[in-house]
Amino acid sequence: MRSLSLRWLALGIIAAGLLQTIAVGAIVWDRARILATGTEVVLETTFVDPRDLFRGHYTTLNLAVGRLAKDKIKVSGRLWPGKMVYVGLQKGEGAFWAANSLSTEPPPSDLPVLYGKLTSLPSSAGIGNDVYRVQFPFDRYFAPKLRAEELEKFRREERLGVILALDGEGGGVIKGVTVDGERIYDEPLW
Amino acid sequence: MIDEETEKRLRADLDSRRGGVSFSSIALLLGAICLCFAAMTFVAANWQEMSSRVRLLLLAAGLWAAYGSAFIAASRGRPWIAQTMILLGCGLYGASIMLVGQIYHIAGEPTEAVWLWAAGTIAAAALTRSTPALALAIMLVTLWTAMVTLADDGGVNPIYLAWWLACAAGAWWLRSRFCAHLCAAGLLVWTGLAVVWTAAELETFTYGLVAVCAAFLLISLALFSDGRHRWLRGFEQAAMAYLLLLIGGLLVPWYGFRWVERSDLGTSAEKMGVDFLVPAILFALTAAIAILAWARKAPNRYDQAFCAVWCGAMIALIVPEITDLAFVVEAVLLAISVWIIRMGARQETRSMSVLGYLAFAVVMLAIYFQTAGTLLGTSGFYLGAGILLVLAAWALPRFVNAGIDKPGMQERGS
Repeated sequence: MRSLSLRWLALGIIAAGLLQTIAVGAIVWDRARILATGTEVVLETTFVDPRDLFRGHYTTLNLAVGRLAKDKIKVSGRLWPGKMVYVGLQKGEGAFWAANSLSTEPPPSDLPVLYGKLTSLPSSAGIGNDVYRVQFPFDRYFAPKLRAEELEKFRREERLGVILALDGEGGGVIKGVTVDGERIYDEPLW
Repeated sequence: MIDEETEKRLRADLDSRRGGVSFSSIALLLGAICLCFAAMTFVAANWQEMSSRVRLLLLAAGLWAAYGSAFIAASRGRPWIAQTMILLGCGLYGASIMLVGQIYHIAGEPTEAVWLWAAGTIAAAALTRSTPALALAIMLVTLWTAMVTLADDGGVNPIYLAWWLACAAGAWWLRSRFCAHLCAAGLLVWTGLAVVWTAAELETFTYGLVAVCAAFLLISLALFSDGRHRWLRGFEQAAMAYLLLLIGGLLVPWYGFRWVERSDLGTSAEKMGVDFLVPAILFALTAAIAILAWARKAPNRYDQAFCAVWCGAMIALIVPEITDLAFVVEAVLLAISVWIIRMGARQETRSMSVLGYLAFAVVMLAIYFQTAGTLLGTSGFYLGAGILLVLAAWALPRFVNAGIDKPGMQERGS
């Protein structure tokens, strides 16, 4: 740093600060845009509480749409574990949205769609595992330790849901949490 | 009684030392590191008394305050404080990324977040010439590659090498030995992870032996640079010590696995082909450097020739049909350890000699615990090795004095 002139140092510091601020700001802008304008869906889930090294406590979302029974959905395209796939959604019987299709290309309808990674296929022998498993890039809900533990304690009969704002291309941002259809946590936009 | 020019140079030298490693400088650096950790744990605590957005604004304000302080410190002639403030700014930048990941519940392991943190920190280090920031960047890039390799769907991360080169260029540009040490350690971590991953997933240690070949090639290059050019600005011997450490770190588990499992992780001679292409290229390069060194009478040409020999030996050790022969592996390892001891003594590099003696002791112990059919056979091997070494000690100086000059000794004046 000693050999940099003050003028160049000032320019370097401003450039570094702007670069880092823009990098963080771009993520905030992108997420806030989806939260403000995205299509809202509620998905059934359960929670498990572990801890992230950098971001603290969270609950892992065990989304119902991440386990697709092969006889209840339309499947199109060649699938294998690790393949990125689209999961088409439709309004379910209760408060939750449910999966109705699994494909390698975006489904043609205007209905909401999720984009995730196929982690396993149904067993070809038809024994035991009859579901496609899909992992989505919104499977963690970060919360203070007490709230994370509180969420974990909810029982299955209490019908836990996660509210997602979808961007129309399969991406989504967690907007809140519901218990028996009632919003208990709502993520503020800013 | 000194002239004006000498006085200026002495003052400049004293000034440069003054800003070096005073206690306050060390305390400031450690304080900045503590503040970075404080910011990160503050984010991880997810404190709800303050809204997420206020926390984000607080971190952003902290980042700009740190950078502003860096400029003020530099303008007042306190470059070390300025560099430390850049480090603090980069730490707050990382905490901001993690906070955004937490606010928007971004899933998965924070691999991409660490990558973004490393990229921003490298940029800041380059733009402001901050050595502490570069050191942080090197550690982050190493953490990132470890996370990528150890992930559930992980694997060898070749992109790391591009980032490593950028960091190494930064260390060279900033003339930072500390960053050079971190780069060397990072490369060891990457190589170790890559070899362990390939051994576990692909059930072959061939890549480990290929990495040993590459290490001998790099040692040969370092010897070339150390003899005349000093491309690494005096870091050559440390680099060689790291590479020898890498070779030991790769050969010990390979040898141990062969010993315990009584099976080879190499490539059968019947399958020679693609597996031998890369080591063959590495051998050709090492041999070419050795030939060039002899043609130019380079000071370290003797050791460079041995690098080519060891590279060739490693190719042979890939073939199980060769390693199955009694004590072939042990003989090669013993010879390499003797060469390391000799090179360390000639280069007057204590760390190298220590590594050589350590390797020699490990190989001797390994031989002691196994037998070539009978204990008498093992005793025979020791006898043969002992006689060879005693004969070498007696004959080599006469051989050298008779015809071949001692490479490096004349140039070094020792």
